[in-house]
Amino acid sequence: MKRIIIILAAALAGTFSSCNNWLEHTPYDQVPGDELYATETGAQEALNGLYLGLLDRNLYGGELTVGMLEAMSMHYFIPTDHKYEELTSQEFTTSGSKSYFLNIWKGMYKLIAECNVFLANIEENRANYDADNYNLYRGEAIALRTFLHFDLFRMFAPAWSEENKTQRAISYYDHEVEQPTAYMTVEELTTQLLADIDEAIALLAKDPVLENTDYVSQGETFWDFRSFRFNLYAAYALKARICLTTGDKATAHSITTALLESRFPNGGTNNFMNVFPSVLDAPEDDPIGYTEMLFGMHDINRKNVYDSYFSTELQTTQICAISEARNSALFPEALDIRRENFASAPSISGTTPLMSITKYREQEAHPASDLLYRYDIIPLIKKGELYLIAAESSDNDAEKQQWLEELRLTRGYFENNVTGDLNQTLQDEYEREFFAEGQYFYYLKRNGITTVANPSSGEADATKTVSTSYFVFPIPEEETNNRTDN
Amino acid sequence: MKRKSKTGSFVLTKLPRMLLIMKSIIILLVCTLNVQAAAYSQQKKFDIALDNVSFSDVFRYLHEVSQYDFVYDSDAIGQMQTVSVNLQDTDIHSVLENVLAGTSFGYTIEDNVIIIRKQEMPGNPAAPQSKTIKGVVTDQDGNTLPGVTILIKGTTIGNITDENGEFHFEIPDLQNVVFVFSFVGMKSQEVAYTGQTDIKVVLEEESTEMDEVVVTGIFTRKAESFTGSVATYKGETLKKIGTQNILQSLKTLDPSFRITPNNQFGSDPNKLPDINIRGKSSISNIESEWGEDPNRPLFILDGFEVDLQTVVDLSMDRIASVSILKDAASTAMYGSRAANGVMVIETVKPQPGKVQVYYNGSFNIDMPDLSDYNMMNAEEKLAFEVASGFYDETIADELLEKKNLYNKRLADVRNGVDSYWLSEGVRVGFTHKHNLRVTGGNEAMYYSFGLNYTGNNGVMEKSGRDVFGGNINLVYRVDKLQVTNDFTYDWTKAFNAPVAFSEYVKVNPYYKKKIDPEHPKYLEVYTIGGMTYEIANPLYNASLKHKDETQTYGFRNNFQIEYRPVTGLKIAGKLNVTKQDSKSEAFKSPNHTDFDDTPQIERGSYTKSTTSSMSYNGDVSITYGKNFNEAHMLNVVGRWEFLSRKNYSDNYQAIGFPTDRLSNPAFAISYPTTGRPGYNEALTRTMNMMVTAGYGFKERYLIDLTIRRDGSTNFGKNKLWTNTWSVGLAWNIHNEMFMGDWANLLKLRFAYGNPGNNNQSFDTYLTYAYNTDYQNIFGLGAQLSSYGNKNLDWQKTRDMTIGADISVLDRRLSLTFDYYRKVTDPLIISINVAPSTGKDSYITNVGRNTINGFTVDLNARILDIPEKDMTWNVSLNGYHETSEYSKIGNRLDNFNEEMRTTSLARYRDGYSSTDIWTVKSAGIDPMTGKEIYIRPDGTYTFTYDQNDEVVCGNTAPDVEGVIGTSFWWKGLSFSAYLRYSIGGDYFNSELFQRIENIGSRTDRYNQDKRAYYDRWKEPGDHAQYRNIKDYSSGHQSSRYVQKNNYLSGESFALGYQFYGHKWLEKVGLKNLTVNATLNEIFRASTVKAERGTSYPFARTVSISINASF
Repeated sequence: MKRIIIILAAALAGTFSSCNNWLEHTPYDQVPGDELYATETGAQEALNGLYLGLLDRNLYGGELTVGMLEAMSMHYFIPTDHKYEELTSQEFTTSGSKSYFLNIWKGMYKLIAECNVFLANIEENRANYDADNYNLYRGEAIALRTFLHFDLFRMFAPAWSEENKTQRAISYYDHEVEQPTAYMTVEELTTQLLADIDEAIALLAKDPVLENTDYVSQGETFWDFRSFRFNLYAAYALKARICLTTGDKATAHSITTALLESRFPNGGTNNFMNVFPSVLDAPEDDPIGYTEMLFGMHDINRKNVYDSYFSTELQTTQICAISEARNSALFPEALDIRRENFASAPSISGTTPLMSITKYREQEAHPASDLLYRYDIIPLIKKGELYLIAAESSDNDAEKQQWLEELRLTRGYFENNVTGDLNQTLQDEYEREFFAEGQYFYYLKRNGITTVANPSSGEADATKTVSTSYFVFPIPEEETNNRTDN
Repeated sequence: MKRKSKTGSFVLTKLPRMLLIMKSIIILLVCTLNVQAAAYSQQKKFDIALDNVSFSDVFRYLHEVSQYDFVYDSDAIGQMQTVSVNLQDTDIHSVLENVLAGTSFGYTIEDNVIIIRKQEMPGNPAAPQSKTIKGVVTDQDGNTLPGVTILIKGTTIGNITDENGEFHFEIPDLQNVVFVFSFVGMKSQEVAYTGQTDIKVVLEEESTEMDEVVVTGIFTRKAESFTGSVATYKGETLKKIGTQNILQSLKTLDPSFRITPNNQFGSDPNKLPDINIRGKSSISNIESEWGEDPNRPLFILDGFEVDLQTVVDLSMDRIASVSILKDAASTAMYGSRAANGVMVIETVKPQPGKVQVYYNGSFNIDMPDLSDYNMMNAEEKLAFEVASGFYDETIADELLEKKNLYNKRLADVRNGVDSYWLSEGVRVGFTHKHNLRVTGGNEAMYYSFGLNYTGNNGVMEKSGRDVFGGNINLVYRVDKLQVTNDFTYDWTKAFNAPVAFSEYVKVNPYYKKKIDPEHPKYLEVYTIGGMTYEIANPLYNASLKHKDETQTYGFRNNFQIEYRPVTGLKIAGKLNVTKQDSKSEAFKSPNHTDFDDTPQIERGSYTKSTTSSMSYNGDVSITYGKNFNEAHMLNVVGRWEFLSRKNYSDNYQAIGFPTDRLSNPAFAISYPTTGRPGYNEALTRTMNMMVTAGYGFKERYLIDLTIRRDGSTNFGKNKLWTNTWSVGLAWNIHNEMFMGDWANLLKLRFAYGNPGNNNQSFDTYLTYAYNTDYQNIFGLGAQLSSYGNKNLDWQKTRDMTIGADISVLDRRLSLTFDYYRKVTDPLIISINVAPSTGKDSYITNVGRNTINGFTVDLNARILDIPEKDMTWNVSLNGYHETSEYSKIGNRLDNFNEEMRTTSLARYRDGYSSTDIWTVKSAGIDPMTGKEIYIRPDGTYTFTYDQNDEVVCGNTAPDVEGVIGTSFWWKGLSFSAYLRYSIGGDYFNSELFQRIENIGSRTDRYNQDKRAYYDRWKEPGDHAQYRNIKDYSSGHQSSRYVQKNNYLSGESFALGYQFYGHKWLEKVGLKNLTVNATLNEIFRASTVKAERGTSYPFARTVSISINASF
């Protein structure tokens, strides 16, 4: 009997010591965070998860690029009962409109929280990663977080101006929380975002993109295809975007001109123009400008974007299309290669002749292997914007004209192509360059333009007036109901 | 300690020890029993010197020196003078002859018992001519009873039965001898001796003494020496209340055990009841999110945790006893799982002996209870449509269409169409249950095999539940080792009705049910203003091919090994393996009217889901119990337990069936457009160590201490472990010298502890999932799926109970009273947060809920006439309970606001979880027919503002309980139990929906009569309900809060037990009992509300037969 007790006691002692291990189980259908961040590959999967999060249909895989923001930029023909009818008529209090705002708000902040969880966990597991890689992970995640905060700011806060500096902006998060942080003012937030993007730029100092001599679309490792992730140049471009929006035109100008001249803003040359060569070909080969994309998303199922927004098989209340009249007004120059992203679509029923937008249409075959992914992309920051920022931030008309001309030269125009009102040209170029990419809305907001096109009238140059509050989305009730500082 | 035996004036010295032995047999604390007819040497010599002592002292002394037990009439002996005796080197015979010389008493020696009795013939000490009789004593189930006391009535001559329940002894050859058989927990029985040499006696259990032993599932103790609050019910007792399931019977018997009626699903056999023991301490907003009821008690079946469904499906005939552990002292052994109380179920164990066969059958008839429905007939309905202005129209074309519609309907009504739709879809359900059990074997190895089947047909057509089960129990004993193995296999098949009852209720009575020969798809099709309305026929939908069923297969195997190296010490190991698989299939015909707006190729759907679970649960325990010097009682249990349970589930859906003849998924056209297969997997692991110790001093002062350490995967990573503890104190006042004999039981109890609640599993880990919706060149990405709250703490309840058990007047009056206070702090609550935090809600520890309550259980044996074999009992039980939230602050304010649309409960400090929050109403304005609301400041308004909401009632009754009575006369039994509930409030949402909240299309559905008769129609009407032409959606106001006083006939039973009938033996039966019960047969309530909206409640009549062969 003694022996039994001894054996029993030994067995018990052994079991007790492993109790904690026994209670810490690994779910089969999920990966515990600890396990994921323990390896370099795991951290990379988590980082890639953040980029895939951008593809959400409520975010950049839909509403914020091709959907709602474009409709609100008055680019689409919106018949009665169209899903964007309420938004484009500034009926922001209907349940339909509210759900658009809520989904964006929730989705963006969820991604921000995920960035923060990522940052906290890679810091905790820093020892497991290569030191240079760690800086890049951190730099990319901070840049991405800044990008998200900045777009939330551009949507839900009043436009930047000296008077609005003390206005309520949005909440800012740099760590995971249970309760919301207080709203920052416009000034607090933009200062914070500039500090963040500077930190990201510093962390991305050894970005592999700097070693590329050609396009970024080569290689097979995690550090290739830099334009599908937040690389150093994209971070600079984002900084320029922020500076331009928040009144610091000088910085915006110095960054954009430096990059376009293959320099760093703080000195020294770089390979920017080699890595991102301009598109000069006809758009059927490259409708979006793959090589000019500083930062964008890759989606192997991008076909779904076309199917759910532009396909001519969609119902008239769903399809995003443009009237023929508005299209010809927008692209008067026959040489403009961006014109070819539209096709007349007699199959769309209705009295107004419409054209379908073919930018995101699935192509038959990929013509060249080095541009293998050109049909699977959704752009977020493009080289074209640098020309436009350089022009917009310049206070010298000659220089303004020069940057606009340079952009147009890459779009099929001949030399000396800019005549007439420079500001109008600038606005037109924004509209053409970012058609169905979600940026023109911010141009209107930034410049306080309230007389906008009326694309649903069927007339080429019909306009309508919106109020400035059209550009400030209401913060969803789910947020205001659950916080006290409204 | 002296105890009076039930027959009055006979006293057995050393009775306590004997009782102890008997108990041991019942509860198997002692491994083997050897009532040895020891060779007491009658020749043993000893010295004796006693001076002037009472006779009883002499016998006591002799007992000590000789080990003989003495049986005598204490009253007669007590009346005698004192005696002196002084003898050396003498044997027992000489001593007794010497002592009894000159008295009217003589003696006989039977084995080791010396019987002192009055001599019939003075001067003749020799016993009269004697005769040997023998027999066997069994209980109602045919189990033999060792240790039964048998005495000849009016004498001290007697014996006890041996381990086989057999007895034999010599009796004086007298006329008119009556034997009295008595045994603890059994009714005494008298048998007249008429010359038979073989006497068979069946003793009946006495329910009032049922709780003599406490079964906690971990150890078994004598009730008197335990400090906790425990109620134990025999399977037999439960079956007398009703034959549905044990839970329905328990709610009648125990005021702590409550079932909240499900007003939607009524008597649906496939819906689980909502149970709580002593109130709901957890906030149930986590219930919906996590699927598991946080207030559900813990169920322990034969030592292992099982789920509620297993308990519901358990055949009542397999149940030996059910114990409800209520307070901290009794539940502390279950530590972190115990806060909601514990229900311990023990099944019938095999018995050694000759092969015995038992059969139990019961046959139920369930009748739908539609008495609360008050729907309009055809004429009333049409009149209501007119009165409500449905046929008034300003657009000329539509007016014409409506008038035509009215004329057509009127024509039908005039032609006598008045369909009673409530009779559709329901039926009289028939349920039959069978249970067969075979048991037998020798002392070393015995067994039982059982089979049970329940075919349950619910009151809704095509709904029901079939349960089949088999079990094999084996016991192997050798020396100090006992090995048992119980294997149970279960199969169930649940099938649901195709159309909810509410679909029939709302059909207009002016539609014909059938247009020969078949049910039309639409009862009416009409066009108004270009819109076409098609009124679907529920009978048509019900006639379509349909499948909605779940099959479950599973087994449980309990293996147990016990080793008793020395008396009082037990080392035991147990292992349970449970596996369960279930498969659900649902098919909806493409012809169903639900698919009217669906494209042709997507009509019809088939859904399949499977779930599978596997669990291992084991424990090792060491139990030690010893009585030192007859004064210090010590019981110690140490135990280590582990549990691992894994659940998997998956599901998919297929749509598009060309015809409903092909319900097989192979004929489906596709998957739903955005559908994809679901898969889920969850693993729960827990581990705990526990020590419990009980000490009792002279059975007067008792203390129980328990400490337990629990580890679980359910809580935060930083809170893997927690400790729970309890203290129980009790004072058996009736054992105090100063109390005398008037109280049979007077015990005060106090228990305090902090049991926990571990019913849910929470996401406490940061976890990632691979996003398969989106992929890019870098492959898959891991996306955050749960943040996890690493610091989520265990929910614990500080549980205090003060109680008393009183039994007086020879146990004819007994009372159990418990006052309890349960403070749950912190609660686990799901809190909604601002989405900018990246979360919608999170689970956290916040707030406190305090429950105060008391339960009373009173039993009186008003009549007890043993010679006529007649007893009459009356019982009354009840409870009162309040609850209050605190420490919530404003953290749930937003949640309260969100709940306004769905619930009338609010989480606010100082208020109860059962409070009804709504805006006060002053009734209907006679001038306008609008509702007048009262603001909190007392002013009146027509405007409904949810911010004006105040507490307008409380669903908890002031007192609720059961009044019962039972009567027994020579095998005939009758019992009745009525539930009463006083002072609770009820928000009559059925009324709200069916009288006022009808909408503008008043012709669409049939409504409650009151919608026509009691609504405001013209100025001056003092109506109860709003303007009949007011179509706006009404607001939930205090107008719908009604006092919910009711009385319901929960159980009536009539039974007859055939025993001592000669014909039984002729047909090979040992015992036969027939019972008839009626459940929920009537209900009188102050609330008139439709009950059982989707599935009606049922009135049940059942007949059950118990037979043993």
